[in-house]
Amino acid sequence: MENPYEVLGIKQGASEAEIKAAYREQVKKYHPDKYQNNPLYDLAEEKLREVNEAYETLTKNGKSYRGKTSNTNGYGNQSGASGQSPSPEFYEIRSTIEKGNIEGAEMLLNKSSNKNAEWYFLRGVLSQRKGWYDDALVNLQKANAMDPANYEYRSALNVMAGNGGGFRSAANGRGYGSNNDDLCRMFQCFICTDLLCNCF
Amino acid sequence: MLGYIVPDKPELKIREYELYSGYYCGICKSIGKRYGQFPRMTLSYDSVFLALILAGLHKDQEKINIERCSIHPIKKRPILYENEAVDYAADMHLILSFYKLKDDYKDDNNLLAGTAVFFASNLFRKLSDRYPEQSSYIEIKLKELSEIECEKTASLDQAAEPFARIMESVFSWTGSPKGIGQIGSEKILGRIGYHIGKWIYIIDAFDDIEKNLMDKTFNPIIIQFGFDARNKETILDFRNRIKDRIEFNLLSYLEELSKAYDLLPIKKNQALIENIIYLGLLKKTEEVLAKGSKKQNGESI
Repeated sequence: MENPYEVLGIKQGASEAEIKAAYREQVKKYHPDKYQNNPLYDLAEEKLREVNEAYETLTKNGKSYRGKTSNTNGYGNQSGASGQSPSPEFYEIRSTIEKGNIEGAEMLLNKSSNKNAEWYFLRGVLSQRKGWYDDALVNLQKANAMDPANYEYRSALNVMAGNGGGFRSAANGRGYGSNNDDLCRMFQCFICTDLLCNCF
Repeated sequence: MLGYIVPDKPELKIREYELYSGYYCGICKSIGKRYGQFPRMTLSYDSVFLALILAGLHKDQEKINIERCSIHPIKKRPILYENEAVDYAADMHLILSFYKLKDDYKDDNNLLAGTAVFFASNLFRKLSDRYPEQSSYIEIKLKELSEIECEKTASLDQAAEPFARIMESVFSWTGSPKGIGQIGSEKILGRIGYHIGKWIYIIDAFDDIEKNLMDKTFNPIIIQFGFDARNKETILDFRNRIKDRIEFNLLSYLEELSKAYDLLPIKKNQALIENIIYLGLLKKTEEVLAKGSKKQNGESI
């Protein structure tokens, strides 16, 4: 096993508070919610497991975070909550997606002639997996328009439409920020010119 | 690659900036040493990002010399040496530049590009012998891309796919036969590459709307969202109409890219790479999105 301090990214002999803070940060980084519908889900899960092990070793009986390991890919677990069960016609497609076989699921979906709300929903989920976010957005919107009461579709659309927000907030805390100041902007221009000077 | 991937320089520490230059000059020198002076002229900042990430997976300290070079004869600068990741980034950059030259020559019979293709074909043969699978994969994807351009495909995602796949294969480096590989990280690297590829393709398309409308050349954004010439839509109106949607797409790529990066077992260069991802790419995104809008026009001092 790797050095637990290294796994948490802290110095050997760090205090309990430091361990806790580093641990919290790492859990946030590898949180399963962040990697829903993401082909890297398994890798994130593995990282989280390592972090948990490291934390447990360092704190002996510390309570570590347990991810939602029951559902490997996160998607589809809301359908039960909505009270509407997915139609049997699409069972096979759903389980193919869950196995991570995107191409196979896409083929099955293209064969199906029943283009109802669920069809568009699944199309959207598939597009999201492929990294086709524009396509995903359009299809999830369509699914929602056809069946506005469906909780599963709505929450998938909300997640998709909010994509990018996480990046912006992660970026916000970095650097000195604020480009709204004119003086600051002038200095930036100055630095840009300076950059050119350095070339010669 | 087109030079969109740059750090946010004012936010860099001086030593980070020096390291960045070291990588840049290292790639340049690596090309010069192995292939001669001429191909050095094509270098862009994008390949530095690739080198920083790949080299960052290894703990060992870089060899850096401070010296002059023929391109910067006056001021001495830090130059990175003997780094396999740097050599690899240099090679990939040359392969992609060669295809771009070929494309320029084919598209508008650009004589300069034609001459360059003629002179570079020997070098290119050397490179495609060294990376046979990758270069044939890139060739297939570029063929797909030109088919998409011919058919005028009306889907942004579909149009961006071949280039994104090319970048995916460029980034998923399994290391050199000599040894140091990135076994286990290819999947993550590939995902970083895929999303940076999409980001480059779409930001370039948005940046080129005006040019493409003028010369009536293919642009997936114009086709998907339909420039409404009949109702006298101006380019600025069009840009503003689709801006939010393009922003959604660009930020989605960056978000996925950063998620993949979080999983990468990176050992060094973190501060620089994170500056590029979180500040440089975001700034570029905002700059290009704001292009032509009122706010930007008032900005020139």
